[in-house]
Amino acid sequence: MRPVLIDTCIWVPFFNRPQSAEKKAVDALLDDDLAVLIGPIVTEILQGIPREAQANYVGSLLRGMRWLETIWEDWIEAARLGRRLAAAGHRLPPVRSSLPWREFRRQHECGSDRAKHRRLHRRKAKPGALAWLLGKGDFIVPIPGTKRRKYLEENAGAVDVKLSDDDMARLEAALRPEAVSGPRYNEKLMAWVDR
Amino acid sequence: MVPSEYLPLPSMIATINLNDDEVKDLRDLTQVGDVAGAVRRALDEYRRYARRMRLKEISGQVAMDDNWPSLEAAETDAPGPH
Repeated sequence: MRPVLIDTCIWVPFFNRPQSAEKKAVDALLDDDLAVLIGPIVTEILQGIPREAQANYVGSLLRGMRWLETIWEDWIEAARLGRRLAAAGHRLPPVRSSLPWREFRRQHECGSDRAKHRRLHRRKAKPGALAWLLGKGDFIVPIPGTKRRKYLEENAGAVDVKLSDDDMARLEAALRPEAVSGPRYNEKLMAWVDR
Repeated sequence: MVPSEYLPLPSMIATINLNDDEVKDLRDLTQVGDVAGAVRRALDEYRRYARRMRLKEISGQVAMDDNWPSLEAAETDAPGPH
């Protein structure tokens, strides 16, 4: 079996979710000394751990893994490979997002009522979320922030999006407060906060 | 593996007694001829192994921010140089 360079998006569930498939996969690679690190990944992992002491400890443990030395030519070759893959039509899979609107879209992508929701799915996430907020009543005034005209225009387009009662009901069901709120960390992780 | 001549000077010297079988094992397994080098290799490998095993154990005890997609988005949405 060949060594595997593990990306940051795999390390997040490795650290946060002990029962995850990612954790099991990384464990197997660590057992066989096939897990490989590279500088940018180390930086991303450690900057994602807010507590300095924990980050230092994790950093010391990561030194038990294989380290991939790179030179200038490696990065040039990586760029060349990326161009070839892109030209052949290969794309990275979409990243799962925890944003409520995207979560709503993901939940409904496999639903039976695809035709009815195609119109919703085509919309950009933020205008869709704004349309949902606007649809909740005249007393709600969403204040979106953006730095680019393109996004400002997209957001302004939300006033033209009219969601049906059915659309609103489905969104409300997907975005129930109890489903999208709660403590940031579970009890075990909270024990580490401010220690 | 960093060549021993580039390693910092040892701050402590420990004497350990190894029998012939252990020395032979060390040389065979590490593929290092001299005994000191073989012990050093074995020690380094054990430290790497122990760190990996401990890394497996801390899952669920370290809070890692799941914010890398937003960090990437911030990079791509950042204003360009003036």
